[in-house]
Amino acid sequence: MAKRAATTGKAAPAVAASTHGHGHGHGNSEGHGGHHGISPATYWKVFAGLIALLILTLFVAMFDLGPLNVAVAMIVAVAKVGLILTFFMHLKISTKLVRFCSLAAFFWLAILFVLTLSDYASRGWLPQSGK
Amino acid sequence: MVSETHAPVDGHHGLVQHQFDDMEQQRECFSLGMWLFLATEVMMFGGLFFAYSLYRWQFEPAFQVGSSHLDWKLGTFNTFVLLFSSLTMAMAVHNAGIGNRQKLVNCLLLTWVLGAAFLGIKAMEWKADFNVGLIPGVNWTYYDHHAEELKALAEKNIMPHHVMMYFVIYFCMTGLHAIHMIIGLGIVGYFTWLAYRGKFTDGNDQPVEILGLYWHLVDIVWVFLFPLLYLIAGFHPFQSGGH
Repeated sequence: MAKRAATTGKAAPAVAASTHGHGHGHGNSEGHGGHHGISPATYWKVFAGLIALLILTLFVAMFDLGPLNVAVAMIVAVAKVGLILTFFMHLKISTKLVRFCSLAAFFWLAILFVLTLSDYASRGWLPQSGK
Repeated sequence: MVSETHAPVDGHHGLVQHQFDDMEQQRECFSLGMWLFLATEVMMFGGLFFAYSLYRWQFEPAFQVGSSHLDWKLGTFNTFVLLFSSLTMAMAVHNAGIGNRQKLVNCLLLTWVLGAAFLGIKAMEWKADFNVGLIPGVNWTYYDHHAEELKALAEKNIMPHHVMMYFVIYFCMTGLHAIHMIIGLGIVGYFTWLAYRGKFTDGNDQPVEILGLYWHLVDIVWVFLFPLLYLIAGFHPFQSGGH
């Protein structure tokens, strides 16, 4: 327990105490504190970040930037999703296999968008009859 | 035999199902299964997001007109509500992990209330759309009563049925999202009752974590829906939103 407390930093006392309380063993997960590794204080900071990004989205939408509007809105949305995936959904403390699997979802989505949109975008490029 | 060998190591005799070597392997397996399910969810919503992208690309001006009918204030408030519910869900997972029954019940209850508030506000928005005739296939009479707006559209070469397409996609996307919220509320409610009875704080906390993954994914979908549906016309803080 002492070693755990030393390696998990700020949240160590609470985590160590609770782990002691109901006796979860984590085998080789000592380095990152297992599934209790993210503290409530971190969750609050992530929430504050999400609200700040929400305000940023609104702020940018007030200006007419042409096509840049949707680009900025999507970048901000991706940043929010990154925070949710990393902290709320525990990818920060997940195994490599789980992280890889979570990326696969977005990889398949990228295939859907890239292949289908490249079809639509390139229609009429070639001077063929029937197009 | 295998589980007996490992039981003293993880201290969870009885909680590790017999096909797993130890608690750690079981936890990873459950997480992985849920993430695979979430991947299928991403694909399902992805199809709708693709339809949205394609039609917006084709009918951008009409989509801006459609978006201007939504109330950005309600949309923003709902985004806040849902982000806050994700925080309370993350806290629920944390409290299940440390075995704090009372806080777990409170967090789940708060998550349920916030989710219900989201759906309530969404229902109000849909009701308003119905009242002014902006629901395709149900009550699409808005332009029958607003001839001047129809004329303005014609001057800008915008087809009313392209505006209709925006609303078809709007209702499909927010509708599928709402179905997910309703399912989520059912499970959160059930888990609140189970947590009250002492389940999850006896060392078997992972079902709460799995439910959390689902809840956060539904939140993620909304994080994309909000700017894509509500903010594409630009919003004007000093004018009242909506109809």
